[in-house]
Amino acid sequence: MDNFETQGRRLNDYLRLVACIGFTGLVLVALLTMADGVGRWLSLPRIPGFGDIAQISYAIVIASCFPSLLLKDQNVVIRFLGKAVKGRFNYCLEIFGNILTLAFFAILVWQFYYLTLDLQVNNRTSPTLEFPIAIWWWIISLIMTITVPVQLLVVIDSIYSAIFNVPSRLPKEEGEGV
Amino acid sequence: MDPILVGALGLGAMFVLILLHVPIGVAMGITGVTSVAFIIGWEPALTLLGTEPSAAIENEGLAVVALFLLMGSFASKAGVSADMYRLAYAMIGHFRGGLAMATIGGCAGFGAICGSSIATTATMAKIALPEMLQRNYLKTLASGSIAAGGTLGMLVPPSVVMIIYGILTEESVIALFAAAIFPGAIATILYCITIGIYVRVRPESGPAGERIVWREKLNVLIQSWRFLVIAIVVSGGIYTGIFTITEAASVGASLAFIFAIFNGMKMQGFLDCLTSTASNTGMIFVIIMGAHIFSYFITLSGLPDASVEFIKDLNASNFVVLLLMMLMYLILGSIFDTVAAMVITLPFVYPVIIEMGYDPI
Repeated sequence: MDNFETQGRRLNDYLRLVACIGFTGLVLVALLTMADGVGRWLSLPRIPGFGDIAQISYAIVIASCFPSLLLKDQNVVIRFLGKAVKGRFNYCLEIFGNILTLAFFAILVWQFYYLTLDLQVNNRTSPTLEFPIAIWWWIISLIMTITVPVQLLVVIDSIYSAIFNVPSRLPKEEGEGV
Repeated sequence: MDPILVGALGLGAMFVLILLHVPIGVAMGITGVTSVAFIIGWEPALTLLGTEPSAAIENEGLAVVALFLLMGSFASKAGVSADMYRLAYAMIGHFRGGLAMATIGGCAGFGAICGSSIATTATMAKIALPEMLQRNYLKTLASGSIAAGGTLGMLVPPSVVMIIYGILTEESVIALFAAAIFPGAIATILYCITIGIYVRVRPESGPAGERIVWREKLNVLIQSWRFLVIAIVVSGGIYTGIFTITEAASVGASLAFIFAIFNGMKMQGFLDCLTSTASNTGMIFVIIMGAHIFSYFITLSGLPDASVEFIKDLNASNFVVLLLMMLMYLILGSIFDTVAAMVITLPFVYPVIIEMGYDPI
C-alpha cells in the first residue's frame, strides 16, 4: 500500500467520522421530535421553537454526508458505456465525470458562501426563536467546502489511473440507492 | 435562442453527460444552470446553485427521507426483518413454494417500515436466500422472489420515492401513502400467485415446508411484536393524523433505534447504520439538488407545455399514452436508478398526466 492509498484510507476515516457526527445529530433530532410529537398528543408542554432547531439541524446533517459520498464515489453514475469500451477510454470518462462533479460542487460552495453572507448582512433570524441563522449556514458552508478538496483528490486519482492504466487507489464503495 | 429549443438541447445534453459518466444529479444541475444561463443570463443561473440546493437540504419534508432510511437501518439491526420473515413463513410456509411466498410477505412487511427497495432486497437476501437454498429451492426461484419482493419496498408505504414525488410535485405525501396501500397489496398477492403457478409447473423448484400448528403460529406472531409496534405506530400515526410524517418517521427511527439497542447493537453496528444511511441519503440528495435546478430550467423553457401540446397533437387515446409511458419507464428502469428515472421524467410526465385528466396521486 503506497502513501497515497494510506492517506486516502485515513481521509476516508475522517470523512466517515464527519458523516457519523452529522447523523448522530439526526438520531438526536429524531428522539427529540418523538418527544415533542408525543408531548403534543398528550397535551404536555412542547419544546419551544423546536421546528427552528430541527430545520437547521437537517441542513447540517444532510451537508455532513457529501464529503464521504464523493470520496467513496457513491454518486449514481451510469457506467455502461465505460464498461463496453474498458481500458483507457473508460478512465478518461471517469476523469470527465469527476471534473464536472468538481465544478458542480465548487460553484455550489461558492454560492453557499454568497447565500450565507446575504443571511449575515440582512441579519436573518429563525421564525420562532429568532436566533441568527447565518452562524449555522457558516457551519454548513464549511462542511460543504470539504467536498472541493476531496473531489479534487478524486480527480487526481482518476488522472493517475488513466495515465498508468491502474484501478483507483481510493477506498471506493458501491452505493446502495433506493 | 428560442427557450423551447434551449429546453430540448439542454435535455439532450443532460442525457449525453449521463452517458459520459457524469453523476446523474450533477448532470441535471450542470445542464440546468447552463441552459438557464442561455435563457436569462449567467448571474441568475449561477445563483440557482445556491438557492435550490440550500432549499433542498433544509427542507423538512425531504429530511423525512433520511429518517425513513435510518429507521430501516436500525430495524434491520434490531432483527425486525427476521421477525417479519419468520411470521410470514409460519403463516404460509407449508405451501409448495411457501418460503418464496414468505419472502414476498417479508419484503412487503419490511417495506412497511423501511421505504427503500434496495434496503429491502439487501436485508431479505441475507435472511431468506440461505433458508431457501438450504431447503433445496432452485436458485432461480429463490433469487427471483427476493428481487421481485424487493420492489415492494418502495411500493408499500412509507416509501422514499413517494416522498420525493410528493415534494417535487407538491402533492400530499399522506394521500400518496394511502393510495399506495391497495397497489402494494395487489402486487404482493400477484407475486404469491405467480410463485404458486411456477411451483405447480416446476414442483422441484420450491418444495413445501412443514406445517406449523396454530399455537406455534401465535407464538411467532407475539415474537414479532417489534415489527407490529413500529408499523402500527408509524402508519397508524400518519393515517389517524396523530403525527405529521416527519414525526412519524422520527418516532419510527427512535423506536427502531431503541429495539436495536435491546437487540444487542454495539457501537460498531450503530456506526454502520449511520454510515449506510449517510451514503444513501447523500446519493439521493445529490439527485434531488440536481432535479430542483433541472425542473426550474425545464419549467422556464416551456418544455412541459410543449410536451402537452405534442401529446394533444398526436390524437392518441389515453390508454396508448399510458402504454408509451410504461414502455419508457421499462427502458429507463433498466438503465437508471429509480429516483433518477422519476426525477428526470417528472417535469414532462406530470403535466401530461394532469392534462389527460388523471389524478396525479
